[in-house]
Amino acid sequence: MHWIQSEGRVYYDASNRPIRMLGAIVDITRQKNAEEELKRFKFMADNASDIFILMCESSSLAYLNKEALEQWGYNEEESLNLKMRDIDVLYNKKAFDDTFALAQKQTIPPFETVYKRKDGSAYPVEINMAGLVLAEKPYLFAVVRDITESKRALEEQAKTNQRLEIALEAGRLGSYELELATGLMSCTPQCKANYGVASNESFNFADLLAVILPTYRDYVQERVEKAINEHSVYSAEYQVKWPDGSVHWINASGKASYDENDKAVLIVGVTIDVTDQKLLQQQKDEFIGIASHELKTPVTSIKAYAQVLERILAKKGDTQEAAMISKMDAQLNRLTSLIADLLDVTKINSGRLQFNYTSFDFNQLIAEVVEDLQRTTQKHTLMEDMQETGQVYADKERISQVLVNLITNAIKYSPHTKNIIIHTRLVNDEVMVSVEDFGIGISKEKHKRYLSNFTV
Amino acid sequence: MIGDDDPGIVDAVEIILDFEGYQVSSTVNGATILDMQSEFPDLLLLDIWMSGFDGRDICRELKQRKTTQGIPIIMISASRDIERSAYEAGADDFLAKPFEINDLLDKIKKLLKEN
Repeated sequence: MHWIQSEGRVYYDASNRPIRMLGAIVDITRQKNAEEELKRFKFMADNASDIFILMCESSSLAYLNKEALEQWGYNEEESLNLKMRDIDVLYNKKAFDDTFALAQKQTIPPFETVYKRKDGSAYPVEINMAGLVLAEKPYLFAVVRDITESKRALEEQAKTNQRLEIALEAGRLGSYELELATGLMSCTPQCKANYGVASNESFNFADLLAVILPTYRDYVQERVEKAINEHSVYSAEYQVKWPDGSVHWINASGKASYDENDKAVLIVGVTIDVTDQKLLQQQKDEFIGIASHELKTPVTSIKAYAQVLERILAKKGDTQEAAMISKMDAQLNRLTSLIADLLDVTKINSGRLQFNYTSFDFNQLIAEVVEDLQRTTQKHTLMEDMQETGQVYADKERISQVLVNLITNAIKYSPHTKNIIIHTRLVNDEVMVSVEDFGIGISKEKHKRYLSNFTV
Repeated sequence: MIGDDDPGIVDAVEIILDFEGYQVSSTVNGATILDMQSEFPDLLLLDIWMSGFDGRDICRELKQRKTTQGIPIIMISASRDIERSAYEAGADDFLAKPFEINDLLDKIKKLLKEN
């Protein structure tokens, strides 16, 4: 299909009769298409929510869409006389000409500049430009985006980052990003410093694994995998060897982010050198360990003296005195178990608590403990409600300690009631023990503190 | 015989054993025990930590010597965790500090009866 423009002229004879017509026929399909193109373009541009402008080679504005007129405060008539220097605060002729020429040949990457409105107010914009030929004339087409908000957001983010950096630095926290697919890491200088690595050296996951002491490597990988699988926060403490040979404790944590298929792609987190804290903790544990060990020696001899004194007095018939010494001996036993508890806490904290496993009948152990503790109280009746549990393989001494703690607690906190019931059940091949008293109970707020140190 | 580097313990245990009718000698020095050539005791109470000496080394040495391997040894320590290593060193019995006199006397009686 073609558009034809036909022009002609009719020639007349003397009596004014048309005798012939001379004319020309021109194929104007291209012009027609260009007009259509321009119409379509204006329609689209006028309905867009961004600013669209069309510039001529002379830098005057051929067209501004409605959005542009509205935002800049011009009417259509005024817009016809606008030149780019009226709009672009940073306008310079040479740059414009170069860009115009270049845009006819290739795409121009987006750039930022500052535009001004009719009232003179200026604001930052991002410009996307392309060369365009309409009705056989070259134009520069531009989409103008107001970036005031995103600039402010960026500045805000930069400020936030700066604050974060200060916080990280003050806490000597190193932060890292680990790309899981490649094992590439981006680390802050402090993060590298925590591993004894200079800030200009590269430090990726493979390098990290290499400096972790071999005993912790599997542990670290397991912790990372567990956190990824459970979508939880990863946290681990491990030892690393710095290039200078010194060994440091690192506390690391992080959290994974996932793609749309729920595949973990990135771990972001922080690390901190906790060597000093660890050392102090170790010194504290050692101190308590040595102190309680040293305390045992005098207690041993006091206890020996007390017992021999008791015997001598008993032999002499001084029963009252002997009974007093016996009470003293009982107090010494309390002191001994306090020292032992102190030592146990240290051992638990440092992971050095040893267990001596044997097989024994669980219910029989309970019966023994109940028999011992029944002797310590006249007010209470310890009752057994036990189902056959069979043999367990455990540290008898330690289990007995736990039972004693539970039952003595029950006695201590139910001063006005009589019965304490010890239940045992076999549940899925495990023994379940419960000690039931009818005393004041434990308040709800304290429930979550059950398992922390020194909680009664 | 008692070997312990704490004079208080040595003294108290001596009194007890004396009171129970045993003849007791003692030392706070590990070397004395290894220097014994004759007049061996019927039984040895040995502390695991003797200043400068590890009681377990002394125990191991005594159990290797022909002249002394027959002497029953009860090792005493403030740490329960080294009970196993005491037996590995050849000890006949083990007692954790602080101990009940009755436990000590029972162990002594039992070992003396066996020998």
